Amino acid sequence: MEKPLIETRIKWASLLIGAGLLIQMGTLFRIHPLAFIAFVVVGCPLIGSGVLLYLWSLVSAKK
Amino acid sequence: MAATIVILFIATTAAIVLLVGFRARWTRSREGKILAFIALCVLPIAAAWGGFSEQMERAESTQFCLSCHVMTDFGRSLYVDDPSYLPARHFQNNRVPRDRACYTCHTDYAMFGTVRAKLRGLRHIQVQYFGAIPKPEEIKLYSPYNNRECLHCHLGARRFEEGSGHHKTADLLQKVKSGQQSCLSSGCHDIVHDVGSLKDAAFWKENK
Repeated sequence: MEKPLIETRIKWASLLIGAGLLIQMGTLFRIHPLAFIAFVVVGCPLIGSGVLLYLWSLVSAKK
Repeated sequence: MAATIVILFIATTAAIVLLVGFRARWTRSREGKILAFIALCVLPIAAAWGGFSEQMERAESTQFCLSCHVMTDFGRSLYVDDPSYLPARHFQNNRVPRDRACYTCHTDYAMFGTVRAKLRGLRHIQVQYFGAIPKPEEIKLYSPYNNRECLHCHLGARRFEEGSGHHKTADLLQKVKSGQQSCLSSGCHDIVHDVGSLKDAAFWKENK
């Protein structure tokens, strides 16, 4: 049986958020400007795009 | 301790996020939808905010500031065994917290001072990785050092208010307080990091 589109989007959203969180967690093991940059430039956009994808999947879901 | 809590919170959130993502069919039920909203929206935002706060806190640490090679001499200048070096005197006598020594003196004690300090820090990072790095002795402040930063701690202190050096003339103290006379560039406390002369300096060896 084929997965509903919303579930596929939720899976992708969770992958983006999970990747962002893991990167953010990794940056917290070191005190260095590059860790700060990775946190802000890589981690935050990944989480932001994952959350937006999830919210978009909710509003675009067919009843 | 706080960092450990933040790391554990982020790790737990990541585990929940991935679990919900790979069990997306749970979201078919009402409870599953609520779980998904918490896992994919509320928790990640909270975790990212916690991590961001921790990163901002770390950006105020001496270790963070000195982690760029060009700042090494500025770090060494804190250990000069000569009380006329103003930063060394403050650092060695715990007049500034040693783990936040740079930030304590180089932030603006005014509205949005912290934000301005962080933005300057971002510019430093940009220069460090994408620009032409100046020699340590060529690094200057963006603007003359404001007495306000000194007065943030010293104002009202007995040694500052009653010290003979601050009463050489009748209106000296008033001029210093109003910013008419600079603490650092009026010939009084004018030896600051002075990284160009470090090769001839003696250094204090801290007993740990």
